[in-house]
Amino acid sequence: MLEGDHGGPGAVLELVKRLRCEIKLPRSMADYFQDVDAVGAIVEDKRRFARRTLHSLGALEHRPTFAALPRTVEWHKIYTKDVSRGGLAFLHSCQLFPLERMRMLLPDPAFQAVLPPTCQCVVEVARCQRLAPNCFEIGATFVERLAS
Amino acid sequence: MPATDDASTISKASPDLIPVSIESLRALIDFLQVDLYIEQERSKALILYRDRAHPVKQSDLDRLAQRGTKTLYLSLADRDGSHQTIADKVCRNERLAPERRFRVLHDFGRTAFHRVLGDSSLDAFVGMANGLAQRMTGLICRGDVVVQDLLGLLDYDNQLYTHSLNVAACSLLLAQGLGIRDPGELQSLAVGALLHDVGKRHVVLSILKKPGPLNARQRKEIQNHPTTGFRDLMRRGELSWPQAMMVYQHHERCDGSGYPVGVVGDEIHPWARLCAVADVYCALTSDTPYRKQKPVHQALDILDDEAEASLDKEMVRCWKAITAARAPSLSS
Repeated sequence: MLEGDHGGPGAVLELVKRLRCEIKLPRSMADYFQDVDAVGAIVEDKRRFARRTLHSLGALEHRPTFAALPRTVEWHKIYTKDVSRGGLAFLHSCQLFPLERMRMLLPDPAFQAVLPPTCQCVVEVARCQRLAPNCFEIGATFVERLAS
Repeated sequence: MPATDDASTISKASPDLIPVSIESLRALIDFLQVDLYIEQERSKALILYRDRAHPVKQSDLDRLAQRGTKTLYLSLADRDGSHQTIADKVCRNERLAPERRFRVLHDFGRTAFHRVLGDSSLDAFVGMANGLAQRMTGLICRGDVVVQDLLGLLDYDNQLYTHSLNVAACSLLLAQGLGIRDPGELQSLAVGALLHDVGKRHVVLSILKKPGPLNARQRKEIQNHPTTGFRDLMRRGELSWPQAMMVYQHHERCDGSGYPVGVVGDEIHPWARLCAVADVYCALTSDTPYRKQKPVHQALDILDDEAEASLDKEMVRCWKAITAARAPSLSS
């Protein structure tokens, strides 16, 4: 569904929106996409690169990284949380493990500041935190920018 | 006859020397012909105590024990002195009582563990765990070591190695209690248990041994060990997924209160839940820098409380049955 040339980030975003969403946001995050005050705010911490809040949509392609952990190759809708030059945090419906590498599509133009000139990248999972059933917050680093 | 000349003095830091307890040596003297060294009281230097042509006798060991000597050192440069050779000989020696064989395995495992602890490649570490798990599983699977012997033998100083070995032994007993019989599966489980805290290699000793409460940064560093252990081992690509989950998930709790992810119930791999029960039991019954060991009956009560919310209830019930029914003297 998300393979090949789709005619730019706008068209890809439309395709990502059509993916079935399995994430169940906890009640405390019910207004996740309405929290406009948070958008663009710098997350205060001591990380190497400053992080900015960016609540948007993306797609993650599950692929096997470890021989011991089978993964069915398929696309999943994700919710992005914040982003920096080095990586991003996002919400996903299932647990991912450190070192897992997967392809990600981030068609929101707001990501162009960190991913020019493409909306495709490979990320490596660094951490995972369960927030609620079917809702995991995952921190990942960008390991490769892919040509669109 | 003890030798005291300078030529027989050897550095304690020599990588070819391994410490062996007097008790372990009692089990070894019939077939071990190696040079043995003893630590001088004042200088702490090691001097030759018996060369291979003049093997040590039980009476010598009695005298040493009376004098308060607990350890002699044997040289790995000796052809017969390698860890693997000695451990194999001990484990196959039917004339030795099973608990003594396990004790020797424990002693030699500790030395092997400390020798490979600083190996950044992990190769030696995993090799050690595989060898040790194979012998331990052999002893326990054959029923050579009965439960009360094993529980009575566990060391309680809670050093990293001792804790790992204790958790491996308890995990094996619990797995058997839960009906796992396949030796290959048990051995695989023992390797996972021996490696469950491998990520603590990255935690500085001052934090691991801190007697008081940890601050937030120190707690974060400690709580990172399942993730660093998982990363280190998965980069090697040799572990099975259940073994990897023992490393990554042994601090997860069924109610979601654990770390690193906070997964709940069945989201935690069964081997990790099993390892968690063994880990908590061994931690409770051991001296740690911040807490004195608890008697077995108190530890079981605490496990019971934990089972209400955070540990696997069925596994705790099984562990209680193992310790209570088969080792009644330890449960009271």
